[in-house]
Parts: sequence; structure tokens; C-alpha cells
Amino acid sequence: MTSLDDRTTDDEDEQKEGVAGFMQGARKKALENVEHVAEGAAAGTLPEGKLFDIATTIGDKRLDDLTVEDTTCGYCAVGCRFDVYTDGDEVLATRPTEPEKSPVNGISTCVKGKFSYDFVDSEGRLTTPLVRDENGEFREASWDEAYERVVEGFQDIKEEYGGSAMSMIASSKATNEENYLMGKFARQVLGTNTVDNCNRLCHSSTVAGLARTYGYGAASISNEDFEKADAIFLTGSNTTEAHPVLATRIKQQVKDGKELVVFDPREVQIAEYATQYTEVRPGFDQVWINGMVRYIIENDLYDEEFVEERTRGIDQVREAVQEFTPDYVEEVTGVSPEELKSAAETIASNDRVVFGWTLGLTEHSHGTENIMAMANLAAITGNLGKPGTGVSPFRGQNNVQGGGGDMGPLPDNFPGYQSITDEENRKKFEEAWDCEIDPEPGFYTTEMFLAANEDDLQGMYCIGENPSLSEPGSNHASEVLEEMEFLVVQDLFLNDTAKYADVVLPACSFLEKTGTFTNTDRRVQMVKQVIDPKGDSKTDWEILQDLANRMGREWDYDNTAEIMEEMRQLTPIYGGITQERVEEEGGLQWPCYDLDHPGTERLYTEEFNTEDGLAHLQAVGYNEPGELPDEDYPLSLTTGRVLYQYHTGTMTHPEEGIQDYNDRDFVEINPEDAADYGIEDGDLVTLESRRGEITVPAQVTARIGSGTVFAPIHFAETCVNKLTDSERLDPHAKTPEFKVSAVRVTPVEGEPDVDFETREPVSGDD
Amino acid sequence: MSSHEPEPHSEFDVPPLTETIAPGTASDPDVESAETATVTVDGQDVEVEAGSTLLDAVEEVETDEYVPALCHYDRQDIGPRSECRTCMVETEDGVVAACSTPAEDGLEVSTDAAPASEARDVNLDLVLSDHNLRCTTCGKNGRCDLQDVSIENDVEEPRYGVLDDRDEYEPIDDTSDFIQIDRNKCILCNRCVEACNDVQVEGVLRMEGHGQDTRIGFQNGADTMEGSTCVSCGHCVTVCPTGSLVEKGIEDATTIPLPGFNQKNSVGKVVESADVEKGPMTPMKRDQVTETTRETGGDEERDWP
Repeated sequence: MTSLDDRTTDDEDEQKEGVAGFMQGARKKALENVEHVAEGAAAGTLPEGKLFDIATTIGDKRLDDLTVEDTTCGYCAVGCRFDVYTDGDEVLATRPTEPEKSPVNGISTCVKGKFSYDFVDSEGRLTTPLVRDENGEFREASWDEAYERVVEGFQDIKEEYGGSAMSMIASSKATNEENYLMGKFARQVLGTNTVDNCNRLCHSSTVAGLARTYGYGAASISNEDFEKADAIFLTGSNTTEAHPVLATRIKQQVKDGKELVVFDPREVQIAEYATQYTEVRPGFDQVWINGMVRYIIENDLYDEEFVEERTRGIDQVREAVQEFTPDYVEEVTGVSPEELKSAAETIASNDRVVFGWTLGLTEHSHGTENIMAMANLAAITGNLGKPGTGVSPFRGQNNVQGGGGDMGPLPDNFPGYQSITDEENRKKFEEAWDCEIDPEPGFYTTEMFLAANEDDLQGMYCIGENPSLSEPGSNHASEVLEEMEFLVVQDLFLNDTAKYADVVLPACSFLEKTGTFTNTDRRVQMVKQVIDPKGDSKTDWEILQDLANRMGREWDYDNTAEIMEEMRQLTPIYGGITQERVEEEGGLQWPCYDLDHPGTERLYTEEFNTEDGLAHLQAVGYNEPGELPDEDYPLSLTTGRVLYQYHTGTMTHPEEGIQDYNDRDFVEINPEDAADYGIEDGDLVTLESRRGEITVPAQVTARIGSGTVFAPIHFAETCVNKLTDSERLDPHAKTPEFKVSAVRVTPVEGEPDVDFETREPVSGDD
Repeated sequence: MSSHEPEPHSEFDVPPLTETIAPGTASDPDVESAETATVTVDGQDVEVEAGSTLLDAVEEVETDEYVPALCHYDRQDIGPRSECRTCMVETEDGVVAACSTPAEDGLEVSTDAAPASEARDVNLDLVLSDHNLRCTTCGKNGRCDLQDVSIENDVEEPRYGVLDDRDEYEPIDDTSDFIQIDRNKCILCNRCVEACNDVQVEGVLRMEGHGQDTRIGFQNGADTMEGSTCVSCGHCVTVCPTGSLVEKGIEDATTIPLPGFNQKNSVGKVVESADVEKGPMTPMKRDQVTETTRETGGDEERDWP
């Protein structure tokens, strides 16, 4: 009831009697720890023993080293904030922080953000740079030596092949300030436009699709809009597992009687909470979305006023959706006319609807078109700009919105989505950065791996990403990385990608630095340092600065606030954002044009971000996925996340509790299909595609529809991306088609190659 | 699979999955005022919005006497349980629990009236009498609402003692990887059950039993946390006012750093993890059991609550 700060102080001096006095003494002792008082009690060495594990830990720590600071979570893009308690070496716990400082989550958390911090102090953390010795093995090196090798490597490539043969993968887990520098480094220091990040793999089609229709490629809502909506429509989102705190909010709304409609090939947990769940065939979302648009237009259920005043292109859309009759929709997607009608009417009849989606809609070879179809649906029903309405793509990484997009480590955009092909933009940055910038856009990440094949890329600087596991067609990606002439990897761990590197630079985690993250509802929030960098690891921005200066530049930032200062002068949508304001105001949502601007809670309240201020509805037909099931590979594979792991697992594998819940990948298979193949729950099966194969246990469940299988993405040994395809990319956004691959399933005879009991966690060495 | 069909809690159309949430004897009374009101607290007029209780008014002003309101939680609509009874105040209608009384226009509230004052003191002592008071080994030491409230209320010698008979202790449930439960410290405020069911809408925790036997339990009838449907979201540990539900990792951060000075040791009995098989696949909610009947000691089974 009373927070740590609310305690009255009048009893501090008065020594109390009896129980009150005892409690007071105990509390005082505790407070001394927490309030960071300089004198500490000397702790004697304590004996180890089973019952005294905890006592031993205390003995090793300095009792007065408890630091408490509020920060933003470094896992996903929801952007939860909480107080972190640390003893200087590891995180002890997280506790809720004040309401003004946690606008997105309040007191809510999920297992990862609340509990999973063993990675910070794990043995796998890189603490010194690594370079290759004469035998090609890694050995430790000093920063000087490592830097020299890096600079030499970069300069060799530049001299022999030109700057554009260098590529950079920026880290969507690093702060905004660091990502700004990554983009600057690529263009100013390396002389290349080929800089990109993981957004390519997930929401790049969202960005492309929404930018084309509405003008901004980001969520138009604020999180409160979920509460103000009358109905929520979700597709392609496993919300309770991938964005648990958003799901918490959505579930509360359902509990209060709001409607929730979910369209998904799997009956994920959020679908179990839905008032309507409809199973769809993976890869054909344009068909049912267009079908709904057609139904709404045909039956005059659309918002005529909104369409008339705030959009253009309705006639083309009307024509384009003609063929998507309910019968046709059923034939292609399996959605019955009743369900289509019910969903369309729910959307049309509710005053305020929020449309949410995640990668089920975007990771397709026609992802951009999927998004544009969805954008049509939201626009014709007038669900934009008002409270409780809008579009909400749930971004993935903690800073993919800010670092992976807004800060411009992109091959075709400067910070703030200013196109590099525009001469004025280029001039501005050429002046600010004192360098020449090629007017030709560089390669997107997915293209980088194809370009390297053609010898168009010779070097890569990969920061805080694990492409050997996260790129589609990871067998191919691994080959590319191996053959790369010069590869530098900068990360917390010796991850799978690092084993191909020439130099490995140890970076530090979000708990060890100060900066900002931008979450999925465009909110810039503070990240505060609570622990000193582990060993000799450095922050990403310090490493970039050191390298830039060794390559002829004069970067002299003292702290990340200075970097933000520079960035905001060049980036209109971040024009008024400073770390001071972010701290004082508990977060700022862009666009925020100047220091007096309060930030923007909701986009498109008056006009869209297009030349004429109208939403440009796009006529969208339908395209088939690149690879459909056939005789040889009769099942459709979709990939995704589970609650208890995070992406390629580097942060979650060191956490024992997490591994207890989920220590391996698996494949979900429908009971009918399982019976056909003679597979029982828990049996090992080989999952195979034209690109590769993995062996995993089967989980027989009615969650997934017949004809489809699902496998998660979290373990290197069973990397499901061995099965996905690297060449079938969305034409506009170059997003891979992770959600549809043709596969076959065969029970394993005899002993499997993979021993699940004794695998090393990914964050171990080698 | 569930042994029989779960029954809805009311005859109205209940939202999906929430119909199988059975919070047991936990209550969530609807005690908010219908409209704005002006009440008088210790002679000071306070205007409060619609949806307020007397406690909201009391907290707006400097009261003549301290009102602990221990089980009250002011975030996320975690409603009153009206259990600790340390928010008693006097009104024309007698001594009432401020947290569960709607703020009616014109009510006069007095915090230092003798009956209310004594009621609060006695009730706080009653809470302490069932709490195993071992602050120096407790994970919440220094961050505990009960501790703060007791100090503020000048508790010297609780009238009914504290729960220090080791034989009476329930074992600590240390089976979850992330959350530790010490029921000996629980004050039955119900915040955790509400956070789990109303905020996270997960349906893991419930209040079970009556009177002396009331305790935190699991809706699927499991004996331990690791056997429950818990998804380790952390809401329960976040809201717990005492050291009953504690995040593992910080349960010793503020204890006296000597061997044996920890919760597990001071309570003595601990249930450790039995490595219950979990996953790897996230279970479907409809496959999860929710107990909707309970044994009452007699031959009959009664529906929750």
C-alpha cells in the first residue's frame, strides 16, 4: 500500500519499543542496503552447503551495493518499465515502478522481463575481444589489437573493392543513440549504404505497406486505445506468448465484455480467449481480408463519411475485391461464409475497433500486400484517428521501432524515414556528417545474403544480431558468413554467428548503459545503467566511436545524451526529443517536432502523412505463397515463438527456470495428420524441406489445423530456418516467407543424431 | 482433462475462458459509489469522483489518526477484499471498513473515534497473530507493507502474539522456478488472486477454505505451484504486501547475512521442486482443469464458492 518512497519519516529518529522497535531495526538495516549507504557491514566468508546457497551468495556480495533504478525492458517491443534491483553483478529482481514511469505496463510483467536476467552475469558473457590466431582458433586480445585488426580489415576491403562492398547489420536491441551511430558509421566511415537490421525479417512489410497507404509505417495507436476500443481484431499474433503484457491488457478487455476476433492458422492462447476464432489456411490472408472488405462495401456497412473525406482510391479497391466472394474465400482459405460475415459485421458494427497483427501477416512473399489489404479494412470502416481505433502492428525487438527504423540504419532511408534518394536529404546529411553519400540505396539484409553470393559484398560488421540462425535458409546464410572475406561480430555472447567471425568484440547489455528505446506504440523511454559493463566489454556506442576515430574521424561524444542531441537536429519526427524530456515526462511518443511539442498520442487524427493528407487505399489482389505443399512435401510449415524463450535464445538459455519450462524446439502436428504418419505425442520426427532438415519431438495437438505444422525458432541445434527459403522475398520490403514452407514429416527410426540431454546452451563457447 | 463441465458464475453470457476462472472464496464486492460525492473526513470536506470508497476520501487528507488499510492496493483496480479490517472508521452508520464502503454524499467520517481506533489496533494485532514474524530472514524485509504499517501504528506488543510455533507452520512452497510461497506470512488480502484472475486473467490462484483454514491455493487443484497452470508472469509477487509471495533472487537481499538466516531455514519445512514435466509446448487453456467443486468435510460436495 505504501510505496518505498511514501514511508513517513517522522519515526526515523524515534527508536520504538517492542515489536515495532524490532521491526524498525530490521527495516533500518534493510534500508541501509537499499539506500546505498557507503559504509557496509563486513561479511565474513560463509560455508557452502545445500541449505545455505543463499547465504553464500550474500557472503560474496557487498551488502551495501544494492542499486535500484527504473529502466525499460530489453526483451520485446511492448516497452514495460520497472525498477531493477541489482547488487552490481547480477539482477536480483524487478519490482513495479511508479505509474507515471510505466505508462505502458503499469504493474504488469511477463516471465522474461520480470525474472530472466541470469544472462547478464552468465559464464557465456564475452568479457574480452577475440581474434583468430595462426591456427584460425579464437584467442583473447586487447582492445587495441582487436581494433587494429578491425580497422585493417575494413580498410582492406574499402581499398580493394570500394566502400559499397562493406555491409553492416545494426542491432535492434541497442539503444536509439547507438543505432543512429550505426547508420552514421556505415555511411560516413565505411562509405556504404548497405546497412540494415532485423526489421527486415519481420515488420518491414508493415512499414512498407502502411507508409504507402497512411504515410507512417508505425502503429497509429497508443496502448490505451486497447481499453477504449469496443472490439479488437487480431491476426497472425500469438499475443499471450510473444507480447504477454499486451495480451494481459487485451484479455482484461474481453473479460469486461469487449469483442475479440482472431483469425489465425493456429488456435493460439489468445484465440482461446476470443469471442470469435476462425482458422485460416496459412499464406492466403489477402483473400479473406479482401473478402471482408468486399462484404463490408457490398452491404453498405462502410463508413461513407470517412471514406469520402479522408481517403482516396475506394473505386479501385471496390473493383479489386470483386472476385473475393464468400464462396471463393471459403474455397481458398477455409473460412466459412458465416464466419466471414460474422467477423465483418463485428468490425463494421462496432464504433471503435483496433486492428492488431504480428508476423503471421507480415512474413510472407506478399507481406506488403497483406498489410495494404488490412489498411484498407481499417480505413473503410473509419477506424483511424479516433480514440479506441487504429492499427497496431506488434513490433518485436525492444528497439526495432526506434533503433531498427526511426534511427535510420536502413539502406534506403536516413533517420526519420527521410529517403536517401532525395537530393535535399542527402545534402543535409552529407553536410552534417561531412562525407559523400551514394544516391543508390544499398542492400537489405535478406538481399545481403544473396549479394554476397554474387561477390557484391566482401565484408560485414554484424552488431547484436544472429543471422546464421535468424536469416531464412540458414544453411545458405551460414555458408555466406563462412566465406565472407572479413566478418566482425559485436555481441554479448559468442553466438552462432560469431563462430564465423574474424574478430569478436564484446558489447554490453541494456542494463549496463544509458540511452533510450522506442517501443511499439512509438514511445521513446529511458534506459538507465544499473550495472557496470561486464569485464572489458564496452557499450556499442563507445566501440563505434573508437573505431570511427581510428578510421580518420573525430567523434567525441561524452555520453548518449549528446548523440541524441545531434540526431534530433537532423530528424524532424524526433525534433523535440531529448533524454531530459523523456525522463521528466515519462516517455514521449513521436512525432515530436520541437521542444515544446508534447508528442503524439495517436496518428492521423486530422490528416494522414501523405502529400494530400488522405489515406491512399491500394487495390490489392492476391498472390500465392512462393512454395505451396505438393506431393513430395505435403505439409505447410509455419514458424514462431513460445512464451518461455526469446528469439535465438542467447538471453534465455542461461536462465535455468526458463529451460525447465522449454528446453527444446518441437513440431506441432494435428492429430489427424499425426495418425496418418503413425506419430504419437513426444515421438522424434524429422522435419524436412527442399533446403534442409531438423529432428525434433512431435507435439500432437488440435491447436494447429490439418495440413499445417508449426515449429518454434529458439534453438541452434534444431534451427528451423534450415527449412525456410532465402530467395522468395516480398518484392517491396524484401521480407522472407517464414510462414509458409513446404515440408514433410517422417518418424525417426532408431537413434536420433541430436542428444537433447547434453546439449550446450547457445551462449556457451564454440 | 476436466472431470466434469465447469459451470458459469452467473446466468449472464460470460466471456470466453473467464467462465472457467474459479477464484474460490475470494470476493470482489462491488462497493463503488455511483456518483461524485462530498464526504467529511475528520472535519475536512473532500470531494471524490464516482466510483470511490470512503478510503479514497480518507487518503486525500491528513487524518487525525493513522488508518493502515493494509490489504488495500491502489493500482490496476485490484479491489477491496475487506479482510484485514485495519481501515475501520466511524460514520453515522457505525464503524465500517472504509475500503468497502461507497462514498455517499454527506457522510461524516471520523478516524480517531475510540471504537474505530481500537478496532483498527485490534485488527492489526489479529493479522500479526497469524503471521510468522521473522523480518530479519524475510525476503520482503524493508519493502513490506505489514512491516511499514506496524511501525507506523506503533505496535509494541501485539495482543495475541505472533505465529512463532514452528509446529504450526505450513511448509514453504519453493517448487516454482521464479516464485516462492510462504503461506505463514499470508494475510489473506486476496491481492494475488485478483491480480492473477482479473489483471492477468490467467486463472491460476484461488482462495480456498474457511476460517483458520483459508489459504492460497490453485484452481486446478494442484498441491504445488509447479503443478499449477502458472505462467510465471509475476503479477502475484508484484502485489503481495508481505513476504508471502516473493521473487526468487531477492528473497535474501535484505536479510541478515549470517548462515541459517533465511526464510527456508527459519520456517524449517520446504517443499522443493519435484521436477514436474512441463512443455515444451505451451498447453492449451481448454485442456487445463479448473476445480469447480470442493469438499466441505461432510459427504456433500459444494460448488465454488
